[in-house]
Amino acid sequence: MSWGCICLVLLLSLSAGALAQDKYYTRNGKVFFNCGTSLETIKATNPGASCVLVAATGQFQAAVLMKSFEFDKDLMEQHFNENYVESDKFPKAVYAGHVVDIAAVDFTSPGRYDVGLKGKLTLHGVTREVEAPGEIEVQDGKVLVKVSFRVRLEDYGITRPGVVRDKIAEVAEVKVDMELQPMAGRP
Amino acid sequence: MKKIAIITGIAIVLAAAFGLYQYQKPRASFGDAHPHFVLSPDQLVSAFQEDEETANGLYLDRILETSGMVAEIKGDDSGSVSILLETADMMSFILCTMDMRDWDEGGVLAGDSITVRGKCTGWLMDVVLTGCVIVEPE
Repeated sequence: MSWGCICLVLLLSLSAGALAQDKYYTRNGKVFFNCGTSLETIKATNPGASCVLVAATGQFQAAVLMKSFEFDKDLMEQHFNENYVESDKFPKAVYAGHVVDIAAVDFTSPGRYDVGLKGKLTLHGVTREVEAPGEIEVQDGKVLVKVSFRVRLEDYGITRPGVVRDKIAEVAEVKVDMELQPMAGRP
Repeated sequence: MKKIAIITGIAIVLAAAFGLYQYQKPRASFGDAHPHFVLSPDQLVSAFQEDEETANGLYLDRILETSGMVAEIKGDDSGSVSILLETADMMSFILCTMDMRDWDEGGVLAGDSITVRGKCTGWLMDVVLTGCVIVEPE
């Protein structure tokens, strides 16, 4: 089974058994990352993150294509894919976990909730536990999810060569911004 | 000897200027680029569904042009627009992302048929094309 099919099956099977109105998804969520320093601005945006949230259980899964991260500079984007995250070898990053305090979130009426996420991030072929603070905002007909966490590059086998060590932060800041809609009809 | 030093100095300055230019060069726009492949949305999705590895080998980082019907358009505060193109598969679309600066708001609506050109970055739930621009068909 291909990576794409696995991803799709994971995202869908995650929500199997739940009522249709209990599942929220997006296929164009945003993931931002920043690992610059005072010497260099290094930031990128990925506008094509897929995500499913099961309201009843809090299960949360998101995936991105590494090559979809867009930098302002062409060469920086090329170096990111070829020298650091090795996108040809490890094309996707996946976060699979759950919203710890999902019971406090009322999906039936508008409101904003501070939540915590607990799960595993697989990046560059390495899987590690990641806990992150987040925010869920229920609006009319949609659910906004914001999560931010930090990724220590060495934890995921991403090394910073000595010559650019001062320009690349040891820890990247990652922000996730998703506008989820009810999964009705087709995902 | 002095002549060689001057020529070497000029060569170093030119090389440094070229290096700096390459480093600062902004992301390319694909509006004027000749597409490597022109495919229908169905052909693209089928290729990835049947054999993702082969499709990655063929299409990743390549400029693709595809024409289809707009299922959904969404813009956001981060300056990007995403367009979903219909396919015959109920589960998968072509997800085209573009910079807001390349977007003519109101120019395209859901249900319209358009042609887009962008760089293929792979397959998630959909085939993803980034840096897209809307073009006249090749």
